[in-house]
Amino acid sequence: MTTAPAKAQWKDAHMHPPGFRARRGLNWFTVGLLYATFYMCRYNFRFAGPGMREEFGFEAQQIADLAGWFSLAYGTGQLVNGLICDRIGGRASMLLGAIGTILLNIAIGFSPFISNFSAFAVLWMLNGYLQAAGTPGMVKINAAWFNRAERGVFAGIFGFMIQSGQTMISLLAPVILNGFTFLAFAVGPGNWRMLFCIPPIFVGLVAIWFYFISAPSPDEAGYAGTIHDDVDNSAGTTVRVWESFKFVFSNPLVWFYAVAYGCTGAVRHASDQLAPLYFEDVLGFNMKTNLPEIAVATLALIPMVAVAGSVLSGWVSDRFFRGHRYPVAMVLYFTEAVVIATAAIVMGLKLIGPTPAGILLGCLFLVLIAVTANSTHSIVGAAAPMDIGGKKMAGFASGVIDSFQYYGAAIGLFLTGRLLKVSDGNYTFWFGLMTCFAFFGGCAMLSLLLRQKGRQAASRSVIVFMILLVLGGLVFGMPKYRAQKEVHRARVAEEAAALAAAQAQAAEAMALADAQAAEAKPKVRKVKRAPEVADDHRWIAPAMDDDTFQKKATPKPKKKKPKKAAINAPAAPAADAPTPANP
Amino acid sequence: MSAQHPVTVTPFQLKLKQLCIAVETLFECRRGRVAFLLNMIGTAALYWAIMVVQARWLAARPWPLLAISHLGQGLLIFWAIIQVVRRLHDLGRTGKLFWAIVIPPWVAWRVADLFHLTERPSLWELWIVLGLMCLWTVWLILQLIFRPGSEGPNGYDGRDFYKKN
Repeated sequence: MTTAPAKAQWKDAHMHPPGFRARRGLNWFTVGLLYATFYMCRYNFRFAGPGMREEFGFEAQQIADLAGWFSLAYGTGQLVNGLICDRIGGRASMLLGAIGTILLNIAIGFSPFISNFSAFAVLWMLNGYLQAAGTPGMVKINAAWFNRAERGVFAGIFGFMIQSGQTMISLLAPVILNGFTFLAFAVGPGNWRMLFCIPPIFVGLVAIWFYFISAPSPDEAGYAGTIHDDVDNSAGTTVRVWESFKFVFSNPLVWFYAVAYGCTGAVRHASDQLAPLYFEDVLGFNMKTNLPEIAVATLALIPMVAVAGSVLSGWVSDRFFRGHRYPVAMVLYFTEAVVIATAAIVMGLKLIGPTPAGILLGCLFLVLIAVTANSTHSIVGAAAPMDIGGKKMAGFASGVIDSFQYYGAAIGLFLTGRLLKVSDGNYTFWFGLMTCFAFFGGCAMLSLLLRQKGRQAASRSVIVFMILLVLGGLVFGMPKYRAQKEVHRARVAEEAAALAAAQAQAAEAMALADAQAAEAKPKVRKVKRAPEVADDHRWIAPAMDDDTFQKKATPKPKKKKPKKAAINAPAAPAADAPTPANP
Repeated sequence: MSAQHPVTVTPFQLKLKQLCIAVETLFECRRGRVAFLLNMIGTAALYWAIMVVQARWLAARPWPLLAISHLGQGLLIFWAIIQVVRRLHDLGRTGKLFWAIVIPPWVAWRVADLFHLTERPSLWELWIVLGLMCLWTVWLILQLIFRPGSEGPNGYDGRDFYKKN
């Protein structure tokens, strides 16, 4: 057997002391569970939105702005909290984040002054900032518990934890909004404030469990020297802020990964957040009241395949690339670019649309994009920072890289929104833009690959190519965008003018009808109406209800028909016309 | 290296370590096919009995009793997993193959649930695909039940493992 030595080698490389794997599993479960509950206090906002709009009259734009500001605060929080995390340790960082999240959510849920938009926005941004302590803390703890060649699979499980947090709040939110009774505690239906009061209870319970069970490193759990790191940890796993800052900022690997991760963020968030609009506008689904089965199936399938893709890509990078993430990430980015480019072409050919085949194709592409985007998300966002920063500086490395994901998402969503607007909802641009981001991420990883192989000149050439791509996009894209914007503006103005003309015509017809009605007051009820108002006849006689109007407007028959014949007559024949029953 | 940095380990963490060693040792053994079969039958019977009790008696009782019964079911599932892993070790295979037994039927069940396949008998082609996906599981289960174990130490025997460490 040729595989036997390899198997033995693999087994030897993963030899740990007795009980270590179980202890690590327990630690990872605890850390991951706390991180998942953080998501419950973040995605609760999604479900509270409609209730808030109804109660305070917030506009959709304001709700979207709140989400955007949260992302901005979260991205910035990653940077700052990553530094602090390296100083105070991952465990303390996660606990601080948990306490802050609990307090802020409860403040939003219970405080009467949160009817003010600004107050709500400030508190929600603070929540975003404090939640950002979770990722660096989790990455730092797990960096201490996993060898380099084991971190890929861990990163895949990280993807699972994110999805499970979202699933937990998705299951809990409808229960809360429908109203429930637990012992003596009763919550009425539609109480959106409870969405900010009940999830923190879960965070609190898990945080207590975390406090007792978790250990920041194997050394503190009685397994000293089990995990070997590339970074020297002889002075402990916490480090001064300046030292961490200097190490991470001067490390070129961080910036390659950060640029690539920004591209992941742009694709991942664009596909996640615009999917409902895509379903409605392109596939013709009704997403507000009656969600079609295929949409439900696609939305449910996406997390499943995302987790599978994350674990698989992590495992491949551990098993076949000795813990190097960039080769796998590069392949994934380029595959993603090919998939999305194919989707753009198929969309351009009008093959995606509200037909059975079009819907199937549309959903298939969304699932494929989710697989590739989430795979890069876990290996670049979770595994790479641990490899770079080690036990000591994984917190800040993760903070820098992860913050770029949110900045990338902001840029991607900003551009996509504008392109969709000027193109009147042409989603080919959506796919086109995502293709550019995916290709750009692949180039960043290719450049890193060449650099690590010692081919500096080739690596620099790729960087120059990337810069040229951006410049080319700006030079050629901006004028086209402006021209398209002008066309769109002219079209909108034209449509507005046409609408105004139609309204004026309708008003004129209305006035004419009023005048005619006034002239022939005692007998005239029959009025020629404008087509725009054909369905609404109340303007003729506002004081009358529909039935009275119908009775009065319908001329009375001169001759009484036999009742039976009138009921059975299909097309109201003349009173004296022969019927099949009475020829 | 991290070993040079002095770290204090609390008594609670040491107890956790002992517990983890005890749990991990449960998996690091071998199980013959007859013992495996008997254990699995016993576990399945107990599980079924708890289900019957839940449906007929516990439904109208206070919820802590129901919670305890669910805990019992969880323990039985854990015991069944241990048996499968031990049997795989006896066959000279890694315990991670347990996932190969569990994941295909789980995926098939999820897909059937997502697309409401039970309400659509016309989609028989999809049923065949799902059935084919589970063939690997069936093959592994047959091996677990009928194939004799490997002779001598095979690298997955906990006793060898702990002697080395």
